[in-house]
Amino acid sequence: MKNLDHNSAQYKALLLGILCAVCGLLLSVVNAVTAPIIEANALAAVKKSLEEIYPGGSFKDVTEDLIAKDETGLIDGIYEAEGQGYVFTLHGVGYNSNGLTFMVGFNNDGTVSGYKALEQQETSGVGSRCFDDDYSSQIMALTSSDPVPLLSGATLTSTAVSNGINAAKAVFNDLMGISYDPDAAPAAPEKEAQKPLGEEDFSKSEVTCEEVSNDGTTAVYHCSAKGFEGINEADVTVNVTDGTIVSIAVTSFGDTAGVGDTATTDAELARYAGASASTVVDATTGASFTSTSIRAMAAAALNVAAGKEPVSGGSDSGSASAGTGLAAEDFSANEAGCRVWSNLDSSAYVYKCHAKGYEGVNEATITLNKDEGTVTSVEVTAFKDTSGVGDKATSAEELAKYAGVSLDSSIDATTGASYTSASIRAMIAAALNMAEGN
Amino acid sequence: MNLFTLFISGMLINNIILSKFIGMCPFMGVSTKMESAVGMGLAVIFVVFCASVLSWGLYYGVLVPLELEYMKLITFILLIAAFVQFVELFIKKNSPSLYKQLGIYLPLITTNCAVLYVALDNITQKYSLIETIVNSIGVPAGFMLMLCIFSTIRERLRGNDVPKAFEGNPIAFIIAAIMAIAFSSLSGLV
Amino acid sequence: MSEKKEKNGLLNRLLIENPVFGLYLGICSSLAITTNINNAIGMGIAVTVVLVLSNILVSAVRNLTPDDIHIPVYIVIIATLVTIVGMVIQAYTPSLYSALGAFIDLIVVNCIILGRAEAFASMNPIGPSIADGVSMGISYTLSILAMSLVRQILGTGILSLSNPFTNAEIFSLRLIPEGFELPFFKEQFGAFITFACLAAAVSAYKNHVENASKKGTK
Repeated sequence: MKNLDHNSAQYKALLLGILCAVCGLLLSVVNAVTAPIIEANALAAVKKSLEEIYPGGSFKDVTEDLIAKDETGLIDGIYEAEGQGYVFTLHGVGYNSNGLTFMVGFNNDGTVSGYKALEQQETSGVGSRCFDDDYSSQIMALTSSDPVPLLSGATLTSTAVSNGINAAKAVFNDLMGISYDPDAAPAAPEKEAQKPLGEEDFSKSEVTCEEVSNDGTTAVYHCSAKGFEGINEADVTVNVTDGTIVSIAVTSFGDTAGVGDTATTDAELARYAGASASTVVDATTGASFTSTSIRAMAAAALNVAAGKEPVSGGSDSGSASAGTGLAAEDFSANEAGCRVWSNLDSSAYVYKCHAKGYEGVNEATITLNKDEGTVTSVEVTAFKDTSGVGDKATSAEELAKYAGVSLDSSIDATTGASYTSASIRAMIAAALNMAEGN
Repeated sequence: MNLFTLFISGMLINNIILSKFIGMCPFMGVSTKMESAVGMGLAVIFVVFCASVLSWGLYYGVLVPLELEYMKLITFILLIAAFVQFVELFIKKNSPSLYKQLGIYLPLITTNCAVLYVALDNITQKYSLIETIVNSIGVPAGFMLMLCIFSTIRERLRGNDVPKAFEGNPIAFIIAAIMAIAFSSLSGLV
Repeated sequence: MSEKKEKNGLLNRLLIENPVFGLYLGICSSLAITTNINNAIGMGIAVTVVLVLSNILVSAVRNLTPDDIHIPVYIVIIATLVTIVGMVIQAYTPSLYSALGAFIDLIVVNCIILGRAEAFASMNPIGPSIADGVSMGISYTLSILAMSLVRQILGTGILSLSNPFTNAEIFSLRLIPEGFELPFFKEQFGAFITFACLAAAVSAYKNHVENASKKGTK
């Protein structure tokens, strides 16, 4: 070592070389030890979801190896359940612009092993049906070569889901060497047979019609009806003598632009020309709610022209229903609850209550006289239902109706605001029950 | 990602000094005079751009095919050190005047967190070559922008009545704090 | 008299020669990750380990390394150590790894480590180098711990510590009532302000000591 010239180029090269070799060796050893642990950590996060499809399975993350097969970009992760099959985690955008993520699994024999949402905020009762048992069982019955059915009335969400499943199918079939027809059309979405205009149940549409003009032959009615999330209004021209629609002109569109407005195009509205109460007018695909509201307005106009009530048949929530006694009424759907705000003065108990209305949770402060078991006043503090519809039930006049009611009283629902007024009655019932100690 | 938004994001919105806190060490030392600020800024842009592109090429050309991704840190920092050394020798030999202006900053840049950070970030974010190029120009451009702004402010401060304890670096950090609020208003832009 | 000097000496080393607030080395990490004391302790330990090991190795090869290649040699040693520490952290404490992020890799260019290697370890035997590494490391850890204490307490109102290996909470104390905390301390502004004030405090102490020694020698 003494003879080595520390300044010679060979020495420097040698030193650096040995150093790099030693360091490289050390690193590869540590890497070999830690890399499997790191991989296991990453897998552990997803493992919980994977085990819902293959309980107790041993999984391997094969995303990096197989992701190149995916041309759609919808696949987030691919996991092999050793000896059993593959699970795909996918994403898509349905109705809610925040997107959704879900997973679908295929057994090695091609049958679907699992289908589950990971994160979705689709509209409850509409898009969320894509993740309910009904549709899920349809998916679980498929194999990797079958086309994926869509769900009628939840077109956007089910399209996102079916695109994702098709992407997973493509990679799975490619991997397993299964041949299939990627363009096979799915069975047309199950549609309930459309009823004639006069028989369809429009009670949920909260439709009203106002006569604008009527010369004995032709009458024009200005109608409004609830669509998907807003109120749609239209002028319906009716031929009074033969009870048919002449034309419909939409004056105000309150639903989702780009979705519901496919039902309000001139071509779609032209289908109503000549329709009578016995005509079947098909719904517009992909705009079920808005087209229902148009049909509701058409049917209501025909009814009014014929001298009938605008809405016939179905549950009578459009007209002022004689309420049942508060104690006997079923408020389980309203999930009402109350907190005691003040119970020092037994003639003025104050409760802060909340109850589900049509689409939101309404809140109210209810003051009642415990000695007499009656309501003194109701003040609505938070209104989360549809303005223009539900707030008919929260006006000062309507709330004044509740003064003096007890659990035995029958309270009329507010016409055209059935859900909101039900939520208020639910809160009153809850407060009165709480005061009684029920 | 849109290249223009990538550039703006790297330069202004996720400014490397005010938002990511990287490159502070030489920043505090050099931002006292405008001339040195400009010189350092240009040197940093040049070094970051070349080093990032070279290390991107090294990663995807050599490390990934050989499955040696864990050697990334060592190879990148050696590449940066070697590159800076080479540039310094090149400038010294070919342009003594340029060397006098910029050369003194080059050794400082080797241990500048910014160079290594940008090189590593390009890999972490899985940028393509063109995205790497845009990012590697945008980020040091933001660094240079900050250097220039700070040096003008600190020059003004010199004649002023700064509390004794805050003289020097602490007051610079107070300035940085105020600028950080100003720049944080850009955060929703992209 | 000598006892006082020694006590002062320790305090001096801690404050005046404080790598973060006194010498302004390793600032990047002390601003970025000091949002809670978990991160600070984790980072402090990582830096101390790298510092001590690199001092040992640099000191061991100091007589074998010719002057003009000493920078690449030190860089390779430090980079290897940082990569190993990074892999270990990623494997055994993944929550710490995701909290510290890119700053684990940036320990390589932490001025403290290369600075101590050049200034001390390359000229001293292994024993003193270890001591120097440990003291610098502890000093660094205490500095960033101080910053994170301020930022976490003022920023979230809660002082909490959790076990990085298992993510189990060790303790959690609410010191500032909910709604009264100052969230800007968690962000960039708070980082700069806290650093500035702590640095100013150290600077004030330094001036005080200088004045005292001037008065003493007059």
